[in-house]
Amino acid sequence: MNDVSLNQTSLLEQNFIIARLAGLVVLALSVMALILFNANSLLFPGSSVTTYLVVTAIASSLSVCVLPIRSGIQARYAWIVSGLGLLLLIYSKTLEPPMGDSAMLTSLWAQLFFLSRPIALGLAIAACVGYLLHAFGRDARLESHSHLLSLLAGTAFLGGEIAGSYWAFIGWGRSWSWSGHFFFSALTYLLFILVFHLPKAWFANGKALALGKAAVLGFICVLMLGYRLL
Amino acid sequence: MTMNWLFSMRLAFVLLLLLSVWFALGVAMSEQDVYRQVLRSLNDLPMLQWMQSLAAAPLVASWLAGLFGLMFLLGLNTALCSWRDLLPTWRHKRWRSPRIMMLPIHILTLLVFIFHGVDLVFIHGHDSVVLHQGERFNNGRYQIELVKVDYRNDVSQIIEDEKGFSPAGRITRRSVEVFDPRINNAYFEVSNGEQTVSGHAGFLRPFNWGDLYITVTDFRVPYQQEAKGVQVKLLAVHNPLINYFFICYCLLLVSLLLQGLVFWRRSIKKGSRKC
Repeated sequence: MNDVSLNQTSLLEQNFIIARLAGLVVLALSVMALILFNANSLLFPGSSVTTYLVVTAIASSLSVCVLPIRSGIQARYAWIVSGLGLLLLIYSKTLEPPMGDSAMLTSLWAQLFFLSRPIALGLAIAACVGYLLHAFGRDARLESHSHLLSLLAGTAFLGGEIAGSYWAFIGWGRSWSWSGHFFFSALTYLLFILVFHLPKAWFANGKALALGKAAVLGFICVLMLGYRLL
Repeated sequence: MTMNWLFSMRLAFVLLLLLSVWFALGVAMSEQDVYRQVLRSLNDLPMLQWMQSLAAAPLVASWLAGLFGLMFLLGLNTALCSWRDLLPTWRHKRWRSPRIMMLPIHILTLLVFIFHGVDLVFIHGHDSVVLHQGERFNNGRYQIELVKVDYRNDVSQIIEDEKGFSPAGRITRRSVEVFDPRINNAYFEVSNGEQTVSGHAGFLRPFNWGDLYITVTDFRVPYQQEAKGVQVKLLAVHNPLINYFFICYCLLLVSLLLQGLVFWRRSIKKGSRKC
């Protein structure tokens, strides 16, 4: 009996290690892809769609790597997020390699602005998956991990907006303007804020609240990907 | 009648949701060329001069009225909620509370709202000028003289034809091989009647003197003006708020990062995360 339970424990631990390795492999592949793009460009190609997808994959796989996997549900989380990261990476390979030759990219603020969005998206994807799995499997660590990722995603997005505002100010004399781009930025940031303002009283239980947060984060992910890809 | 609803997070949720829908409508509206032109015209005018542009576009006017109404309510809700629910943590000096950073986050968000509002009503204006070497511009408050243009890329790429097109294209579309902003400069002398200062400015590298920012937005050679050399298009912006605006934004960013740190440390203590 003891041998059986020992075997089960060691199988489980093997599963955890493989899930962690999957995250590390996707992270390594994404970083390698980014280094190759950069080596073939005049400047870091921060504004290209390909870089956007690769950096998203890096952020989401990094979110998996920092979570110590100690349960089956966390291993499943690692598999799903790594799988999504890999899908983004594969899709990025179907696109044209980025040139990175635009004069605009000489500005550090422009680079920070372009990089902030895929970082926010990658973190939001990982947080969304975490909340979804927590809703169905109840895992306090995963919930706390997803909460932190949501906060970091919103902060990364805001950081990028500040960098973008400064870039706009030094380039065109105004930090913002009445335009579709500004409305989209405001909409996305408000949705990030909304994740932290869901009234608990309006949700029957913790599962419904986690699903609500996952729905808002999922919508942000679709919105950000759609805006960049379509 | 009780006014508790004005302080509640439920109202904040509803307002955030409505504002998100409102901005989504704004994105859809800005896709229409007619409305995009109206919105663009607002960028160059302070709020007090908007009526003429908005009279011809009632849809944009209604959208803006709705936006300001919702923003005002959200601002009021944020202020009241901060005063009732978040201030006590600081007043009672509960420095170890997980909610400790909530007050700075909300106050700084409110300040950012206010700066946007003040910017809209009073500032939003600039001088757009084109100068050749030796030429000057005077707007009554200050005089800008273009002393020297140091253009090191191939000038033939920025010579415009009769339609205003050049081989290099618009400055925002130029490749770094054709136009490198790091090596092309304009040297200015700026005077306000009492003081004179001088310095370099380039594309994405403004020259700053007090509240005045001079940004080069283009280097070009207009059609049949090759003999005059490279012309510099510049923007002179007088904005006393801009530093406070970015300080507020940066403090908000730091507060959010600190909130993340507080939450992370708390989750380690509670045992939901192990290092």
